[in-house]
Amino acid sequence: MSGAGTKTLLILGAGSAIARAYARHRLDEEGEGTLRLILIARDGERLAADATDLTARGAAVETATVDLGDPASVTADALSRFGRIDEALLAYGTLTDQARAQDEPDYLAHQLAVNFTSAALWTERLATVFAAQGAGRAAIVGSVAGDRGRQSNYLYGAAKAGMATQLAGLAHRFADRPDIVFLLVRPGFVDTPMTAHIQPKGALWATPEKVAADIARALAGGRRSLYTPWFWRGIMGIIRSVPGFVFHRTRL
Amino acid sequence: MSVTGWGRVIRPGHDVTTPDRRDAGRLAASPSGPLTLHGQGRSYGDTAINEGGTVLRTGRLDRFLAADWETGVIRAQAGLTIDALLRVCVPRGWFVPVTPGTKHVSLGGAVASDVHGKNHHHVGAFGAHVRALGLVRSDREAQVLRPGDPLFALTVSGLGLTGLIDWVEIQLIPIASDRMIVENIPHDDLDHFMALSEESADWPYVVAWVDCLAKGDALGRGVFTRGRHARNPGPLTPHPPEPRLAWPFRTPGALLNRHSVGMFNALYRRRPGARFDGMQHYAPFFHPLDGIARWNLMYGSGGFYQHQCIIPRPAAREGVSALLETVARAGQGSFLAVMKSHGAERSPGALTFCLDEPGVTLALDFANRGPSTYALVTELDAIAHDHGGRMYPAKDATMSQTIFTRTYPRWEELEAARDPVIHSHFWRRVTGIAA
Repeated sequence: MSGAGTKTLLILGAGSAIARAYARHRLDEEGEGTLRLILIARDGERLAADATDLTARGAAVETATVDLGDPASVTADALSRFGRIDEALLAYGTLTDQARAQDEPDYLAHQLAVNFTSAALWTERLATVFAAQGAGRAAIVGSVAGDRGRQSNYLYGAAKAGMATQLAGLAHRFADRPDIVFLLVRPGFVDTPMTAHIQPKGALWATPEKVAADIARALAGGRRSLYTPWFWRGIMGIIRSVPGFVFHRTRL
Repeated sequence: MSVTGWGRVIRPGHDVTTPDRRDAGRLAASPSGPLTLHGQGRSYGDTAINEGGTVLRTGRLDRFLAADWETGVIRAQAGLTIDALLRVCVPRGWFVPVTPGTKHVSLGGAVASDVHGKNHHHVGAFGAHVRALGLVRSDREAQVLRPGDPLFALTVSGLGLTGLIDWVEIQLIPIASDRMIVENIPHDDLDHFMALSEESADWPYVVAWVDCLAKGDALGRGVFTRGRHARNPGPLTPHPPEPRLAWPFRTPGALLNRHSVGMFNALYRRRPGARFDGMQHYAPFFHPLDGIARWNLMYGSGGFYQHQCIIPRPAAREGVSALLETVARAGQGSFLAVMKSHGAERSPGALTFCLDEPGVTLALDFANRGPSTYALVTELDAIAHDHGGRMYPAKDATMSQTIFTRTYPRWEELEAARDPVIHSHFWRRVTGIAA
């Protein structure tokens, strides 16, 4: 399958709105017949619909139905059957209900397994594949929530902060391997089904298409960190730098 | 979330939902009142808005379900836009059979408004090219409709009232190149326009821009454009994904007056491209305004009215003269007056805009200045009606109940076939039927 001039893009969490927009965007950039897409997601029916869509748009699509958020699904050779992987996007996750996570240990354990443990395991598999290939680029979708613990969402944020620390370590580990890139993506508010219940949506909200285009540009440029849309970098810079005694008076 | 028509005159409050997958089974009623289906929001008036109810946006229901690039038959969810479709099909040598003046419409919207394009006189409206469609309703199981089914005729041009259009299957047309062969001919008056329309009957794409502030002998002058797809093999490059220009903000009302419009119109007719003959990419030919994102903000904070009517050929000269004279007298001229000669309708749609006889359609837009603009547009409604014509629901924001029910006599069939949970601001306005 992976002939000359064909790139392989692996998507973990292909059903997410950002992943769908990203696959379409990359396909549009690369042109017909030049992209091999490996879509992995939990929901097989939905995966099949997205595979049909992306095939019609010109990709060579393979799919695998995997419960990505279950750490037990990540075996040492989980990615080896796909052959060479040039590019990857890890886009699955679940928005944690903070109050429930404070009260229910089982729920919190599951949330951390999905948003941190399993994601960390998949990311290490990618690191292994890229190290063996000598090249590879992956974008890992984190969140601005990981930048500072806030009373309203620190358990979601803690999992995302864990990913940030892992990616900082990977950047260090591959500092002398410029062809291996791990990009931490920190989207702000994105208008997706995961956030459909939040109304109304103001000027800070971005579309998955905008986020996907930003990710593609940052990954192509070899960047290690991306806030999208760009102004979140400034917002989070302020939030991180507010002294604790001031911050603790807010209800952020 | 603010959802409006493209004209932005009517801005009601409603709940908005944007599903990215359709749950199997029947269309669910919304808890907060009637449901309106909303594609890309390019209908100018109120066909896709729903004061006090819920708006279901189809923008994320946009997957291809099947595509045969050998035959050019594609089936896609109704939220797919012509914009997205062209990005995919042009490189493979296919083009949409009908496109309106913007490519930012969904397939579902194109069916529901039964849109037409510059090739109406050759191929009819969009509905004539639909091979099948899937319909989901609240009161029965999902069904497949094909030409000949009574519900097919009521869904094409049915303004989204017969149910959620789940998917649309259309036949694309083959192209050898992304280029168009185009001739632009300035015309001096209405008779000249009519003569050019006759003379251009062999050209598949025809349209004219009209200087609607011209009076007297110059009434109806403008630039006549005709084009066809280049037959020689050439590049198959789709339009660029993002417009490079965007209208930055709502234009202050003081800048839009008869002088600025008059200046625009005079310059437009004299601009270097006004006599352009030659090859051009399809994007500026079909979708000139798509090059400027959010151009509707040009009309300022009050929004604008679009008025499009069609008048049967025998009364067309007199009717169009009366319309243009009224506009010129009011001095509320528009930048974007567009005139086109239509053929006899070839669409299965029961409430399709175009007539079953040849006619002339005129589209005008007016910055909303309040009651005076409303009065002007309703006067135009009356003039068109007096000349045997009717207005286009996808653009309308003013038409009276009397005019609608007289000029769309099959409206009662549509009402009978309407899904019980679906309604719209437009339908309440033109039929008087409450939610």
